[in-house]
Order: sequence, then C-alpha cells, then structure tokens
Amino acid sequence: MNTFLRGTLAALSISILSLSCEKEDKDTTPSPTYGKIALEFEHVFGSDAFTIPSAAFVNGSGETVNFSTFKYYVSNVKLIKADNSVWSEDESYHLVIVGANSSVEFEIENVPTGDYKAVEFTIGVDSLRNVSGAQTGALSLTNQMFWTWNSGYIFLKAEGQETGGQAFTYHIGGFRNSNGTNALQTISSAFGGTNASVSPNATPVIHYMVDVAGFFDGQSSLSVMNTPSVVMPGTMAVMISQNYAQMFSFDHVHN
Amino acid sequence: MSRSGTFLRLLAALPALLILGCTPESADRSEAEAAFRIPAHFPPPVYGFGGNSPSAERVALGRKLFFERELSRDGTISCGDCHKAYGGFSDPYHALSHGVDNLLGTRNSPALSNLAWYPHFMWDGGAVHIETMPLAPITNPLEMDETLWRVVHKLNHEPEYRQMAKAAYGEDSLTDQRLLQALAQYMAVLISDNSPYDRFYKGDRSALTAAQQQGLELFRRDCASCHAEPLTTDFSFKRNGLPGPVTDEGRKMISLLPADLGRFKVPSLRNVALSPPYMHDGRLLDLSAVIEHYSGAISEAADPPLPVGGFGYSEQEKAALLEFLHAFTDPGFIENELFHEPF
Repeated sequence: MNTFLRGTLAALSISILSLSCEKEDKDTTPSPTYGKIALEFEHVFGSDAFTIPSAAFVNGSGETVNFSTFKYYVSNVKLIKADNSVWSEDESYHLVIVGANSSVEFEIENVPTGDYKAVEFTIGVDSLRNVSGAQTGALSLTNQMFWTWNSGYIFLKAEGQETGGQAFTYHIGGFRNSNGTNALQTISSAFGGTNASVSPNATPVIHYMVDVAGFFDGQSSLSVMNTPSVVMPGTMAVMISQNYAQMFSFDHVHN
Repeated sequence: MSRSGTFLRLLAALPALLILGCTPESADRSEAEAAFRIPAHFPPPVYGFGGNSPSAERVALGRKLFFERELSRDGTISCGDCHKAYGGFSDPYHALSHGVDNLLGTRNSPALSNLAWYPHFMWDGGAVHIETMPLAPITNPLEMDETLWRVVHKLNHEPEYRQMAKAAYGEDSLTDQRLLQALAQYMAVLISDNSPYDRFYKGDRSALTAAQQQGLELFRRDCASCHAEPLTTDFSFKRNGLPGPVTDEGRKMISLLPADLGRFKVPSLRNVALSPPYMHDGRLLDLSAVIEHYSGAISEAADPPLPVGGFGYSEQEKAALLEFLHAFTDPGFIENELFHEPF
C-alpha cells in the first residue's frame, strides 16, 4: 500500500512536471533568444601600439616615459537598442589589464537578440560597490585595485618611470560626491549608422581605440616631473580621470 | 547564483534567524553565546550580513582567523595580538600599535565591541565596511605588512582551514571574499551589552552605585552628546582639545576637508576601564588623566560644545565619573571563552 501510494505520488508529480513542460511548449510567444557582444580596447600611444612593459613614449611635457603597469575598470556596460530601449549587463565589472598584447577584449553574455546602436560604460567602480564589503571576480580585493586605509577601488592604475629615473605612480579613484572627489567617468558612444547585431550565432565586436597619450594630455597637462605620484582621491585624481576619459574613442563595430 | 545555492544559504541562515528571533534578554545571561543577536536596547545594526548569513561555523572560522598570525608577513602578529580580550579587545600595554619587525604604528589600537553597529572603522573612519576593514591592518606596512592574496594562499595549505571553509561555506578552500566574510562574522558577534551600565539603562536601578549614578548624570550632561547612548558613540569626528600641535591629520586624510584637520572618531566607551592608554595616540595613561583633560585642559582647538579650559569638575565629581566609567565593563563579554583564542 505504502509502496503503491509512493508510486502514485511519484507518477503524479512526474505528470505535473510534464504538464508544465507541455504548457511551455504550446506557448505561441517565441521565447527570447540571447547572444553575446564583445568590447575590444586597442591601446596605442599616438600612432604606436601600446603594450606592457611599454616602449618609450614622449608626452606633451616633453618627458620620455615607460609604463610598467596599466590597468583599469570598465563597468556598468549598457547597450542601447535602435528603439532606444536600454539593456544593462548584470554584475558588470571588468578589469582591463594591458599586457603583451595591445588589445584587450572581453565578452558580455546573455545579451538579448537585436540591433544595438550605442554603448555606454563607466571607467571605475560605482559608489555602491565601493562600500559593499568583500567582493569576488573582477572586484576581488586580491586584484590590488583597492585602497585599504581609505576604502575604495582604484579605478585606474598606471605606473612606470621617466627615462631620467623619476618613477611615476598614479592610482586614480574616488567615489564621493560630498567632497568633490568623484572620479567615475562615463563613456558613451553611438555607432553611427552601423548597428551591432546580436543573435545566438553572431557576436559583434565594439572596437575602441584607447590612446594612452591622453592620460598625460587629454584635457589638462600632467607632468611626471611636477606630479610623479597621485595615490589617493582628490582634485588631482579627478583631473587625471578627466584626462583618461579622453583616451577612449569608438572606432567601429564589426558584425 | 544557482537556485539550490540560494536555498542552501537560506537553510544555513535558519539557525541564526531562530537565534535572532528568540534572544533571551535576562539580566544575568549565564550561558556564553557566540552568535549574532540584536540586544533589545540597541538600535538596528548597520551590518546586514548580505550574502554572508550568520552561522556558528562561519563565526568559528572567523575566530580562528582573528587569532591567526599568518595574517602577517612574517607570521608573528594576529588581530588578537593588538585586540586582547582582557583589554576589552584593545592593547592595554601599548600607546601605539606594534607591527612586524618591531615597527610602531601611528595610532592606538582601539577596543572592539558592537562592530555590526559601526558605519565606519578606525580613528579616521577610513574603512567603511566591516568586511573590508581588516584589510587595513593586514596591508599596513607598519602593522601586518601582508597581502590578502598571500594570506589566502598560505592558509589554503592548511587542511584545518580547508575543512573549516567547507563547513562554513560549502567549498573546501578559502577565497579572499570568504576569509573577509568569516572575519566579519566573528567581529559581529563581539557584542557587549550586559555591563552594569546596560542593566541600569534597561531599568535595574540597583545596577549602579550612588556614585556611579552621579557620574552617569554628569556623563549625560557633558559627554553623551557625542558618546551617544547606548552605543556610547555617535560615530562623528571631533577635536577634543588635546593640547599641542596637530601631528596627525586624522579625519582630514580621508575627507580631504580642511575643517577635519585633527579630528578623530568619537570612540565607544564600552569596556573603557580595561583599554588604556587613551586617545588616538595613546598619550593619556589612565582614566584619571582622561578626566583631568576634560575637567581642566581642553585647548582652544576643541570642537563645540566642549568648553575651552574644561568642565571644571570638583574632586568629588571626578571620583564619581571615574567610578561610573567602570560601569561600562562587561565581565560576561570579556570572559566569554567563545571569543578567546581557540586551541
């Protein structure tokens, strides 16, 4: 009896499961499909490829500089459809680390199928995640992109030296609006006619040129000899963030 | 995050929720606890645990980590070395914190309790979350001088940590996030809420002596606007009129606001009698010296409403204040072996 009951119950629950499956199958609305999109950042300094460790480049102050580290956060990626609807990536934090290859590319998954005409993202980490405790992935505190004595993420880290021997250390970040130290920069670009067409079997690539010369001379002039070190939030960090926002220029989409 | 993962976390949280739900609020809590709870006379906590729901296994892991010397570069210093239970989880012997290689830090190691109620940490409020706070001493070159990555790497070589990580978080290795979350669990259960002051606060008129009650009146008149009850701090940053030039920028290092020069966090007074020396730089050796400061040595640099010159206490008032400050000592908290170094 007991066995029989259990068997009946099992059969019933299976039929309930299959019923619910059938219902889904009969649904006439086509289920949404998803694809991927890639963001590619191709780093240059002027007209030369930029890799780490870098070649020697001359900045706008006439200083010859080599970089040993160049990394930054790209976060909160939003894609704008042709109909102006906006799709936002979940847990959207990517750490771009320039190495032997001048190009760094990452894929964004679970993007609804469709034609996208523009992209928006921030360089840095939003204020909420700066104050939300221990994180994982790109935001892991082992990435050495977090100030421990003054909680907050380093948005961009650039280190190296000027050929005369002067080392430079730029750890740029800051998320507080209250004292004017918010260094979060937003980059938004329209693709200008060519939509990025996402589908389950097509992954378009949004290609950015990142001209590191802009780090020194994007909006204001930054001299290694005058200011070799900026390692905390403040007006200098905000100024440098305004400079490096100028590094990013949308180049093209390849579908 | 998978659905089964969410369900497991909910399951793991159940015992803690039950504990939260039915905390005995008896005056003489005889049975030692090491679980998170919200004392009835406390405000709501700041730390909500998020994806780090409280469990006994997580507290146990955090407790082991708190006393783990491998958190330091050369394996010589643990959190517990500067936060000793008998000192109210402070370092009662040193004005300034001691680090690796006999290095001296720049500030006094504070007493710890009720940390889940803290909106920020350290004398300058530079750490803004209980989970990321331990990174400050771990990475400070004058304290533990270590990196989080190396700590995780070292501890994962020890089978006991892998077992405890498995019990606490379901995976048999520590991640940097889990390590910090477990430390936060231990820090959050360091709840001091049963001192004579607390018992008086909750209505037991016999909990304080007559002199202590007089001290409490003075405290409420002169001190409680910053040392707000019942946590005994409003977490603001103040210049308390210590004489002499400012050698430590204090809050200004974090806020960058000129007005914050020389301001430090109003410290909690819980277990204050156990946690000498006093002030951000440990310059005052005992509570009598602290009372003398507020009575007659407040400099012009003090923030209002502190009166320049001091409150001018009589000897009798000083004695009452001194006796009252001892009423913040919570023996059940200090002696709770579940908070001590595990062996």
